[in-house]
Amino acid sequence: MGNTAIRIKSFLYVSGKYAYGVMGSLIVLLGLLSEADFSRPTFSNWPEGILGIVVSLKDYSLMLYIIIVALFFYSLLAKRAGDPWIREKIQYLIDGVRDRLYEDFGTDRLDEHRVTLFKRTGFAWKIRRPGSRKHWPYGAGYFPWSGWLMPVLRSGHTAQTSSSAFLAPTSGELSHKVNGVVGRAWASKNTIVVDNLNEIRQDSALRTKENYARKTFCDIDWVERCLDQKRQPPRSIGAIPIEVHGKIWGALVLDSKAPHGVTNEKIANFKLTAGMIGQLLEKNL
Amino acid sequence: MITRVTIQDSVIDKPRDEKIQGVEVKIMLSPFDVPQAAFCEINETTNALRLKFDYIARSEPVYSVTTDDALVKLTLGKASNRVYEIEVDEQAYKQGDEIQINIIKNAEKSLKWFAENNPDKKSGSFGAVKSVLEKYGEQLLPPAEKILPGRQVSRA
Repeated sequence: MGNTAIRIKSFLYVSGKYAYGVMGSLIVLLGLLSEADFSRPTFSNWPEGILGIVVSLKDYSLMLYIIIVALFFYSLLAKRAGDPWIREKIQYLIDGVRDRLYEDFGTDRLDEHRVTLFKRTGFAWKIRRPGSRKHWPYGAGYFPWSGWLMPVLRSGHTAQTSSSAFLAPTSGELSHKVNGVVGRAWASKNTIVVDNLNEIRQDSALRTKENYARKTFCDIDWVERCLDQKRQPPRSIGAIPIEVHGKIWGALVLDSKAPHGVTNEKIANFKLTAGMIGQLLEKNL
Repeated sequence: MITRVTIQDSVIDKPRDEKIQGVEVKIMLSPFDVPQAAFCEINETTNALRLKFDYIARSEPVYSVTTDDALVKLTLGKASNRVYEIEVDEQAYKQGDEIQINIIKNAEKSLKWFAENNPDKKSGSFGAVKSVLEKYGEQLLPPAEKILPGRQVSRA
């Protein structure tokens, strides 16, 4: 997710909080106005200007009711944007996992050993069916509403704008299409590690690429796309399922260009952190 | 009377090699399914023994099911079907001398019974709780004399 999107969400959340205050004040004001009788002597001492404004407000009370309803829906939308404080804390945890997990690879680029939080969403635009054309990325079982695992937070400050989406349908008929190590972890609710994968380069044989795709439960298109974007597909991947209120929410994915950058011994140390992320997410992200 | 044990994740959740669609992967349980601590509490009036399991997160409503013989009550998470409590009735364990073994056997039997009758509701915590009972049972359960005071029984 890009910084602009994060900033928009933060603005939405903060302004949504103020919207509640404005909404409450307007409701109180309208309640008082509806009861007010401006012909009573109490109002005769009021300055004419203020009395004029109050009378106008009463006249336009329908408009105020419409504003209240609009503010109500705005605050609902804003709440969905998630609390920026929680986002910051989760980002801190994810960065911490990355720093400790990959401390042996200090001189490498941050995006070569990553930690990414994926959320399972019922609807997503940025998707791609294997073998599809760029302008029409959809197809049987690969629609925006098919169910997708989308990256929502990533360690470090580089490669934040990833568009990797993994198919995660809930429908029984499509369950075999679950994509990626992240998809497998989400579907089985288990922690899964795949390590010691072959190094894949642009000039690697098609068979090697296909073998890599099979071992990572991806399609060859995904591998080719990584290479086209000058990214080396990871050589070790681990995924820890994340639950919120007892329901599977997504997964924390650790991937590294080193063949043993992610191992089950290493990943076991971060399961508690995954639990803490789940608890923070209960407060909404 | 309450006894408590802290559970070590590495003792309960050992990585295992599995094949998914012909691909070898290393699998561990979800961190949300492995209890962090277990408690044992005895109801002094009914002598029912309650085993409680604490997880990283507990923020879901629960429901209870009782085994067909009404001797064990399971309390499970509504969304996750995670095992939060196992209550073993006195009638289930008081026969014979091996009280602690009886309790563990009945608890395990109830988990098996539930999983067999509700295959779609089985969660990863079933295996984890079974391991907790196997590996920490002796520490978790009080001595037999304290479970059934006044009765002379040998320790399991």
